Amino acid sequence: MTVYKGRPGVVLTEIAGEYVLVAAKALKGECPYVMQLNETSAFLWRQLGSGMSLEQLGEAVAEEYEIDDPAAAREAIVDFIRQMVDLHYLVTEELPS
Amino acid sequence: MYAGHALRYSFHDVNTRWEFRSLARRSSAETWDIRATKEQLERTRAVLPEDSRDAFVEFRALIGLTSRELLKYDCCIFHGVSFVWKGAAFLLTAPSGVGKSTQFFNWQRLFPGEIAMICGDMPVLERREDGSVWAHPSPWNGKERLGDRRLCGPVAGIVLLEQGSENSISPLSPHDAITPFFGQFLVRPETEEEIRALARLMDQTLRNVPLYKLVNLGDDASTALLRETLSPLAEGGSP
Repeated sequence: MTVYKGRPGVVLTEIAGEYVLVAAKALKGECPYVMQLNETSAFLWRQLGSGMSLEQLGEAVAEEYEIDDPAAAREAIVDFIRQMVDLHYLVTEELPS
Repeated sequence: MYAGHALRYSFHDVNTRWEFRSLARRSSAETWDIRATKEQLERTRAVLPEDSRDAFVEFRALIGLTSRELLKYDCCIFHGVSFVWKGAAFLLTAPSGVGKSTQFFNWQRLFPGEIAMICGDMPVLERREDGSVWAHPSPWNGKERLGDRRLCGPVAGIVLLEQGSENSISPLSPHDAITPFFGQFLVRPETEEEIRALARLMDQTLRNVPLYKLVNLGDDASTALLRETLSPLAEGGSP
């Protein structure tokens, strides 16, 4: 099973009501220094702190936003994760099923 | 001294002390808060003109290190022109070469004696418990060396400058200010604690200080527009 985790050195902050990912200096040149997130993306990022699979993320989003079908949220979650992995904010980890 | 906080430096080059001018005091202490590494000096040298003196290279290398140390005191060095008008401080910020100093010089010429420079390039911003943000001088005050170590004040407005084909000024939302402002705080945090300290300073700044974007030609009319917009803030009122 693949789980996703925020990279060490990347910190989610809230500034004037806006969510912002900030990467520490050690990650300079590897991922962007700053990226603004919307509320849903910030919620997803917080869930990732504990290491979650796509299925688990879908369930967490469905519960938080009262979506009946977790699969419906899956496409947006996949897009978010793909973007975060491409930007090297996220790392993946393979766990035994 | 920065915003009332004394930092101790150890210099590689004895002449670096003179770059700090009257803000520095000789100390016999054998410990220090800040000393650049050889690698940091070389990285700084690589982005400066080839004929830069060793003392100047070291002086520039100390900007980010000083900012990191100041984060412990809820302070950080910010890239912008800072000046006092009627007891309130204002900041003009933009990447180098966009016209921050031009606006200041225009204002001084058009309205003599009205404003005074706190720091011409890199003031220290301080987050205070009462919700205010203050601007203080630093030794990094630009190539014209403009600044007055006796001046400081609560920041009443910040203006992000952009060059344009006509003059206009409009409020800037925190949403639109966050990314450009991160680049203007002259520090790259190394730890989560430092990131959170910088975020607290930015949060207080963006929540409590009116922000504007001035698209401008750098002419007298743009300065008059800037002055007219900031005038109610200097009087202690709302925009």
